[in-house]
Amino acid sequence: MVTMKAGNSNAQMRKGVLEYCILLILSRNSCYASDIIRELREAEMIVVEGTLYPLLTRQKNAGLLTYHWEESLQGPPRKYYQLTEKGRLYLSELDNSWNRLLESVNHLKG
Amino acid sequence: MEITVTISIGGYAFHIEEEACKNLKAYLKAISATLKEEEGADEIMSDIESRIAEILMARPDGRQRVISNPDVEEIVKIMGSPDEFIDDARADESSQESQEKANYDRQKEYEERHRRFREQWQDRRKYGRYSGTSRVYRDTRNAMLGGVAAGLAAYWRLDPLIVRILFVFAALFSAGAGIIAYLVLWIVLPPAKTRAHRMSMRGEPITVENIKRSVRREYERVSKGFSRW
Repeated sequence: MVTMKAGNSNAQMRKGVLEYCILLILSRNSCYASDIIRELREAEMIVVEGTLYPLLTRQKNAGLLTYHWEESLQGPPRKYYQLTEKGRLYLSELDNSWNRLLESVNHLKG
Repeated sequence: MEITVTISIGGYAFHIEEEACKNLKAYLKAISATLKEEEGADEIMSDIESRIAEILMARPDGRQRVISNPDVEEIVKIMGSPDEFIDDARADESSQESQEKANYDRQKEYEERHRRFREQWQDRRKYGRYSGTSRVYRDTRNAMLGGVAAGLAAYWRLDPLIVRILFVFAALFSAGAGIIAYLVLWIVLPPAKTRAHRMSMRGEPITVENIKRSVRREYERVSKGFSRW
């Protein structure tokens, strides 16, 4: 049995591209988790920080990201993430599939 | 007035009200439970703790101010509820996995039941009955005449005396039918010749433990017989 809920599909779609968005943000410059959150929030992609930490660790373990520590004036040292070479390749693949997907959907929309 | 305790978050010491401490602990525990299947869960937890420490230090007066419940609520608002730490796609996948696991377990249990039943069935074909249930023999060792009454008594788990009295009554009040029945049974029933027969007669499954018990019983019988002499 398949239950269809527009809200659910919407959330699924957003979560599907969240990984892509994180890589996009990091492709511009190395970022601290809170910076990523701020950008995502500005783009209305995500609401809570909690979702981000497991994703970043997963991408780091997959070899797409690395990080370095930076001292902070107002707290513990921060992890600054950046793309690896593998991450850049992966991002360009995602770019391609995103563009193809957009074309397909636009074509169908007429 | 509130009791405060000192806790370490992300390697920094904080004063926190007891009640708020309980809530914060519960929150972190719930996150950790959500992440337990996740690879690198420890690293994620320490990232989260560091971030919480940072949020607390960014408050006015930072570390000096005692953490109370509103601060914990603020943390939950920023970080999100524990179930938001894993995106839905993964959560669905894992619930599907657990569904598959449940199905798998059910299937295994079903197969196991079937296997046991088949084994029992084979035993039954081999031994004539379920192993461990009794057959009727003539108990020649405890016989008065042919051991029919003793054998039936062993089968029914009664005192042989009761069976003998019933046979005597049957013989007296059925115009000899009881005597004929006894004679027929004497002819038809096999004598319990081997240890296995005697154990089967008593309804004992043939296991090592029961064989030992049977041997001990006979040893006692023999030694009692000796002492009588």
